[in-house]
Amino acid sequence: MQLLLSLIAIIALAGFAWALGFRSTPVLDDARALAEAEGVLPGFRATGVALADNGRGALLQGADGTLAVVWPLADGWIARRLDADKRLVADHNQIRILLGEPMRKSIELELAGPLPAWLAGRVS
Amino acid sequence: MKLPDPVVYAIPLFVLAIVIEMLLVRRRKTGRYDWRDAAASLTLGLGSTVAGLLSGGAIIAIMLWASRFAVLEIPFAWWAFILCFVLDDLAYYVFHRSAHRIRWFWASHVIHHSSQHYNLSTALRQTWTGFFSASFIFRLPLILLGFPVEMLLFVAGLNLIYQFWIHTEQVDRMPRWFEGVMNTPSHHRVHHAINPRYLDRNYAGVFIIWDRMFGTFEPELGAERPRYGIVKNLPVLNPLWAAFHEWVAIARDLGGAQSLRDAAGYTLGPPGWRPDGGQETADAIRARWSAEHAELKT
Repeated sequence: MQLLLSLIAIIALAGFAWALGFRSTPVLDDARALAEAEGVLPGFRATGVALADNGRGALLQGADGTLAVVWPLADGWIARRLDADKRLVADHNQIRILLGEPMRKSIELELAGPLPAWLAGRVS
Repeated sequence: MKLPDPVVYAIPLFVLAIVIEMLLVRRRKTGRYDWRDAAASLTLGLGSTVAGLLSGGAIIAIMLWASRFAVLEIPFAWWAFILCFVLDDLAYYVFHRSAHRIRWFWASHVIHHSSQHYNLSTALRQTWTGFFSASFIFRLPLILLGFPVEMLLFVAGLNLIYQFWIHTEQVDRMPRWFEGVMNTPSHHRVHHAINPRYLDRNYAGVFIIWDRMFGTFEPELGAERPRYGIVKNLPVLNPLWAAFHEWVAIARDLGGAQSLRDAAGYTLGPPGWRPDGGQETADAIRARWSAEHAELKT
């Protein structure tokens, strides 16, 4: 009974949050993508940004030559550094990033523009 | 002496406070809520309660057994409750610092930091695996000293209730004397932040004096807004993954360990420890950040 009441309370509170409008799906611009990557990835300094066509992700080039990716989760973002062991597969401006994480195997982004030169060397 | 569990009585207030905070966030446009994140936090809170019910009997049995070796017999007196509350908070500080510095305990505690939001629902993200990680051992010295088990569990409940209200961005600063002695929303925002300046600071439960005494205090700066979460934020909101992901990571690392030293480092070293030296520990991140800032200043 207590468990059932707790579950009802959870649904009610989450529903209340939804009703209040806490359900946004944010969109990235260059500055936001840069801030997300630099704010979360220790030591990462971005020198290039390639946004997804729908603003729901971005690939970034770091000053040290490394790459990073930013993608959405709920009303926020997740950022990962793409070390050399992470594969990127491109089909025109459609990019598939093989993260290999237990809960996130890959990410797909359709870039807004053509593949930037700094990305060309990493994709296969 | 039979004492009530104060947390049970506080739950309706928790719910009411969350509703009020949501309304404040909407009205003031400060702070953040997301319905999916809040649902995950509340589910994790429920899971923690269930885990507590399942393991609570065993923990109490261990505490009662340990009480047979107590050096003193401390009575149920008002002064004993106060002393127990203060010393329990010191034990909490030691536990909490260990929970951030030793991966074994971090695996159990990380659930509490796994949200990128900082609001009252985040406070309810509590461990599911506290019994497995044996984090109750940090309170055993008080039992061995002679505090009754019932008294200790009662003050531990009060400690948990106190810590609920500090998980908010709706309170900026408390009066100066209060900020000097007590843990506050401002101090605890620093604790939940992943900015290198703030990383692994302010471990206090109720009294911030422990951090001031032991050199782990960091004030919140107006110029540097905390960014919440963990160094490698979870890519999903799945509560099961939030509860167990670090244990899975430990198991995977142990599977690839080349020596006993590596195995010890993976379990008892700080989170982010790696045998190859490419470390992402809090100390390494802060050291790199300090070096970068020193370069910028010169």
